[in-house]
Amino acid sequence: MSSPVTSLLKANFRTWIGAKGFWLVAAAALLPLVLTGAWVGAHRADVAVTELRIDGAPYSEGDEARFTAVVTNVGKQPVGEFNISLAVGTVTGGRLFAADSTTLTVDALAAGESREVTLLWSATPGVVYVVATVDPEDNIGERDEFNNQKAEPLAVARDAPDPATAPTAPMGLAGDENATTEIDLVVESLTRSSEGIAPGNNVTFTVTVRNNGIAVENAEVGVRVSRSFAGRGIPVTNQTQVMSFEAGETKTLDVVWTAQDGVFWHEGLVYAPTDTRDVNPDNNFLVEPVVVNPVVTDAMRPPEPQERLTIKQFYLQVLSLLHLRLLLPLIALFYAAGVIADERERGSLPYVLTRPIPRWLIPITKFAASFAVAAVATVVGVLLTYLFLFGTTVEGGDIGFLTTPLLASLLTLFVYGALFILLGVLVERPYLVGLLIVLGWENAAAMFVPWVSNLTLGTHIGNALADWRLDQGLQWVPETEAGVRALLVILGVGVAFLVLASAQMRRRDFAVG
Amino acid sequence: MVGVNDLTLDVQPGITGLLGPNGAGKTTLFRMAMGLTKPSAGSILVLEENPWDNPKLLKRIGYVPDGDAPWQDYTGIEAATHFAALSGVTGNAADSAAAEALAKVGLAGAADKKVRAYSRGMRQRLKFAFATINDPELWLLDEPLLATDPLTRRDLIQLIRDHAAKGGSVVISTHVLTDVEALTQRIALMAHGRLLAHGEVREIRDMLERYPRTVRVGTPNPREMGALLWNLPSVLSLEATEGAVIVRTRQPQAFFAQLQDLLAVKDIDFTSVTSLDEDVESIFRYLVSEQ
Repeated sequence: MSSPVTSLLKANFRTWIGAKGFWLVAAAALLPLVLTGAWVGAHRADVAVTELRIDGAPYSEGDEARFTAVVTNVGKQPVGEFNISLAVGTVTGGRLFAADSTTLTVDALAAGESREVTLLWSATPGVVYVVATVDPEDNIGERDEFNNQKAEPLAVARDAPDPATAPTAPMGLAGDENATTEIDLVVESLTRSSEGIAPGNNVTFTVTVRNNGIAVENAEVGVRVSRSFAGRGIPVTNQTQVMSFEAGETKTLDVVWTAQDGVFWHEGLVYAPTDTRDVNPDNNFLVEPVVVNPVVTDAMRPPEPQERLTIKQFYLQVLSLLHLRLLLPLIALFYAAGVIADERERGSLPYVLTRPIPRWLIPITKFAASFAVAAVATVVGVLLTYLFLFGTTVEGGDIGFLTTPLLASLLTLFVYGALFILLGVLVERPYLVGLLIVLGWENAAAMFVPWVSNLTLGTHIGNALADWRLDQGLQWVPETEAGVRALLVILGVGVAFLVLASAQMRRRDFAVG
Repeated sequence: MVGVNDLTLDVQPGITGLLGPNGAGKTTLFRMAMGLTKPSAGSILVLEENPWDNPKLLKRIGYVPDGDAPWQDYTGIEAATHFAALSGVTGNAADSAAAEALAKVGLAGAADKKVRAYSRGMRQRLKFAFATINDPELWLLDEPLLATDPLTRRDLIQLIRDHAAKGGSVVISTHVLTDVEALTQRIALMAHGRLLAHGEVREIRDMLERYPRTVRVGTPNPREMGALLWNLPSVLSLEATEGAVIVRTRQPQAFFAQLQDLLAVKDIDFTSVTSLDEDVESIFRYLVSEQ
């Protein structure tokens, strides 16, 4: 590095550390920590569902089920009145539709103490979730709000259905009662490929028909799986075939069904041809129950926990809404934008511009100094906040709370710094224009006018940040297409700003006096 | 509006005074020469090179701009070291170059004081210190003696002379003729962005001799005084006003001599004698109208 560059850097560092810069630098370093610390100070309690027991499972329909939730104050201070809710029900769309529930109000709970809540429930068939929630009203500010809910799935088996509810034989099985040709077709049996049917299984249902009379042509054989509705079978799957039978011949017909949870009926039937009369029509129809019991699968999801602000989310909000969106852009503005204005104010512009330094270097050194100091302040701030939140133990996912804010902060300083360097070279009043950009365009306009949002730097930084998935561990760069695009936009735009600033610096005639 | 137009200034080793009224374009000319301002049309060459964004050329020129000293939150030595570094003096050499420059302008004792605390004269000295760093061959000094105290003025004039004596070239701009006369015989006259004349002080003096001057003679009896003055051969015209007689003359030196003789022999009260247009602007107005 040549000496003029070092000297320009030094002079710019000096401005930074001067009275004007101190508070902003300190704010960059300490604000995330202070705010996060204040949040923690106000959220020291912690109640958690530490155990959820389902006694005596598995259950069948009508059994008395007994659920017990244990709630413990795992925090370091006693907590005042709060509720514990224990409920059982089905989950749809991430929500619990409670079939039964109980709520216990706890007046106070000392640190380390526990309470139990029990719910008795007359089991109904199907898959249900037993959900214990402590402080569902979110009255207590807690260190960890993620441990306030526990949910366990439970499959309750069905009883065999009442035969009286079975579908009855359809009309017309006997043929024509006035016909002279007498036949005798019999539904001999119903069989299935497996007995213990679980939802999703492919099961073959078979009907076996035997001809006990004379040879028959054009008899229609059917096999189906149905639901019973007012004594009628409403098929969920159905197979029919017209068959001819020699005397004494037996034939089968299959239907394959992908089993669903519920009570169904396996029906087998044979219609006598319309020019014949079946002498014994009662045996033309057979029906058997098919009970498919619910099973808990991996695809099933417990109800989503209530939206609660956790310390990590709080930190993320401080970071994305305040630090990245406001504080760092303002820091970049106050230092980078003065590339010409500050020199003019200090009366040094004619001196700097008449030194043997290539003009393009002037905005670059200003940028480098601003970026370096703000970056150091940010690194200190983020590192302190991380240590405060997680201590010195590095645990999987938590490291993301160090690396991601750091990278996002550096990106923010880079791109806004470059923008304001360009602004400083281009306009006479860069601070005013810059404030309008940060407060007006990047924040207010982007909030209220949707299309503006895509044209803000803050949005692209936010997109890249979202892709870093702050709570999911060490990830140095965004991985999805949108995240990489956001990153490239930020880097590309920043470099373009710097190149433009240097080009403008070489071209522009500055009013020095 | 044309700031500076069609101007060639032949600068020899030694000192050249650039004389012109306020607004003549002296500062603009210097700024263009230093690559601070671009000509809106045409071009400018200094030492046969275009000064715009030309570090190599700028290294050869020392510049004292108009206005106050910069970096007022620095101490004198810090400011000078910073300037030396910006001028391409590397490493420790910058420190010693800065100390040497401050010593040269008589600021060694105030090196550790903040520039903010410097007097006007000290700040002017500091600007000179900057210009001497890196030993440039050409100095461009924009009104360097403006509002300086006699001591500073003497020291700075000596500094300029020393540089010229070593073979360096100096162009010093001023709107006060006597400033230039103390330094050099070679002057250039500038007005309305053009070079009006370029030559020796003597030639300029001759021009000025033809210039009618206005002198105010303060007196409680202007009518009586007017009658007396009208008889003086050097008086071109006169006007009696409240408390004074305004006299126009083409021979100011002769007029002052005759006035002195007259006042010695006549018993008439007078309060003051002031030349109303001693300033260069009046002279230049005259010269421009003569062109």
